[in-house]
Amino acid sequence: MDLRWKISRITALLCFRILRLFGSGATALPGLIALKLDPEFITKALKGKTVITVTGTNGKTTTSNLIANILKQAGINFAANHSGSNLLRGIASTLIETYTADVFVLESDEAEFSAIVEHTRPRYCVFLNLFRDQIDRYGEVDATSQRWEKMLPTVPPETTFIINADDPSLAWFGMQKKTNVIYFGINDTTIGSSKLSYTADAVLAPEQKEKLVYETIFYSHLGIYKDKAGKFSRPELDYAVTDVQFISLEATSYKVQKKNKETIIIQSPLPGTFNLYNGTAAIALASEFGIKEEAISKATSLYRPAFGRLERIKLSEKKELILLLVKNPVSFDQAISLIARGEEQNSVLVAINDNIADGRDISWLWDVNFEGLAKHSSSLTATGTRAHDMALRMKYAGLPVSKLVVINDLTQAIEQFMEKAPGEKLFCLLTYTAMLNIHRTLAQKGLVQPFYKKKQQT
Amino acid sequence: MSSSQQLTICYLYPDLMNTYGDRGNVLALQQRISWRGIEATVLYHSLGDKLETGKTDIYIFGGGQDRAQIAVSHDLQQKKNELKQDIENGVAALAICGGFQLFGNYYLDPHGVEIKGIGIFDLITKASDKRMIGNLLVTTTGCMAGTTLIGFENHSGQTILADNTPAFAAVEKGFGNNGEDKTEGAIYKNAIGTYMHGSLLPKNPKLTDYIIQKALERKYGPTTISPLDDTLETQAFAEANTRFNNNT
Repeated sequence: MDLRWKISRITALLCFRILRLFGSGATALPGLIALKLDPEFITKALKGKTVITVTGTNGKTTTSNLIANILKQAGINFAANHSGSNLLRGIASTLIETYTADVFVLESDEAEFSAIVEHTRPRYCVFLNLFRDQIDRYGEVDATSQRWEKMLPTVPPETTFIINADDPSLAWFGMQKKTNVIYFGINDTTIGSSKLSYTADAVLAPEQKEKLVYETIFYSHLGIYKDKAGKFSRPELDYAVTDVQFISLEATSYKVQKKNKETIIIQSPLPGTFNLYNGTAAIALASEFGIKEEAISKATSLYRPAFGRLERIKLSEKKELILLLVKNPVSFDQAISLIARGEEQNSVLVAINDNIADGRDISWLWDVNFEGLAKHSSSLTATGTRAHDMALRMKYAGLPVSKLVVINDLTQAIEQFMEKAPGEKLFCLLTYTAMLNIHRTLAQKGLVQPFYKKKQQT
Repeated sequence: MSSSQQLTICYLYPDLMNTYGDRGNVLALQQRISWRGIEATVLYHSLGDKLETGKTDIYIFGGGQDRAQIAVSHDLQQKKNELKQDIENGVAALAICGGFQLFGNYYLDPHGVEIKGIGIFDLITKASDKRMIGNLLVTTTGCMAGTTLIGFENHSGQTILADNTPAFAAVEKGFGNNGEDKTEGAIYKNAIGTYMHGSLLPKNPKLTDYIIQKALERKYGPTTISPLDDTLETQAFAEANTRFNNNT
């Protein structure tokens, strides 16, 4: 490493230590300083290292953490960034302390992905999905995939792409890269449905003016599809999910069938179809990386949910708080279907903030299926800076307004919810800054650790 | 109020033209119609479907991504006459953003390609480098004059109204049609075009009720519609307005 890099690192490290003294998570500023002092800070640090990137709209954190768990199980000397540090500056911050590792797992923001590839020169790139997400910040879904396509010529041919084949825009993107593309997806059609709901977003066939035809839809626009002209269809899977059994909120079993007919049996503590994709992405990556099946299934079964991703906090013998981050209509719908799946009636708190990190625009609430909460409507709380917008959405979903608790103040809302809400499972659906805020409140009560301390342990 | 009354909402291209919660407009109409004991029917209309004159009381048309908008523009040309006939007959319509642009004469995209509209409103839209994004506060001028409405806009197309085309509203805060002349949207008979997403109708119940009233009057003659409890609507409007003032 040259002198400039070393000076940049020491300066940034100093800044990092000072920020930590004041109790900050210090995930952005030190990296920003390092990059300012040496624009090639990341590239130099990662020279000769193996880099794995994980990108897409939903599931980045869970998938990255699953990969990290598997690498750890396999005894590999690795480092990883963490959610909220998935921009270039966050990656630089991570490298200040961890640059000596051999392998790096980098959760990467989808909008900044091209720049991240340029700086990190990844060996493996995992692509999870592309959904609508804060369109005011990320632009339209088409724009993100177009940016990725533009980046393709700069990617070395030996870089392996690991792609969710069930997402048509990703499959199309994969087809533009001629070599080293691995596809994963779901083949168990019993967990899908046969038709796209009329109000779901249609997907246009690439370069066509026609809609794609789906044989099976797993959720949103993920499924088994083809175009009418017979020119484009879901690619053949290298890693296919079969024999899925959703057992409970903490147990799912499935098999991952490889192209060579080998099968990996998975017992996962993560529920929901979306986690089948996250899990299989991690499994495909690990297999391609050459990690043995045993380590993969063991690490997967021992996985503990990441910060705010189905994080469970015990309040008493019979009561627990379950935190779910909601970022966009798809993640919100998946959270609601998890809550609605069980027989029992649950209490639900929904916190909607409209700060910059959440997205200033909240119109996407109208794309979420709150009608799915009908069964749990006797104990609903709406909170956050846009609590009344949320309450209004619930009203038009036909949920009883008279029973709805609406409190703007998050602390007050969560305290009242923990104290008064009935049932054993208290679900909290939270936008990003609402999650941070509620976590802080819970940390003050000694119910959880501050989030950055928690992250360091993984 | 007779329970035998019924209104049909035709939701144009719900699977292609629905950004920023435009779907909520259909929900708001549907609920506020049925809360008054009137039957609400929603028809979904997409690419290749047949559109007949005289079947619809309210059209709803949202915004979409560029690629979707091109596909929809092609498809709309097949139904242009039927749709225009309905609008001439006083059928109510709400067209938002991309839908508003396609109800105009044409949209000139960034490459200079003309994407055809159906000319319900005499106006044109041109792509620009300006991204007009943020909350939008307006006062209506074209109908129910003097009503304040709140929404969210995100477009780079600049719409220019023909001299004799009335605007729907005047911009108080935000950009509106083009960010220059303070006009927002357009109106022709009972068809309203606007850039306001948000969803627009749930938080602006006066406009929702205006549309319902117009649809009922056309179908059943002079009507007064019963008031509803709009406490939550009013609070959500006020909350959005406060956030808006604090942050822009």
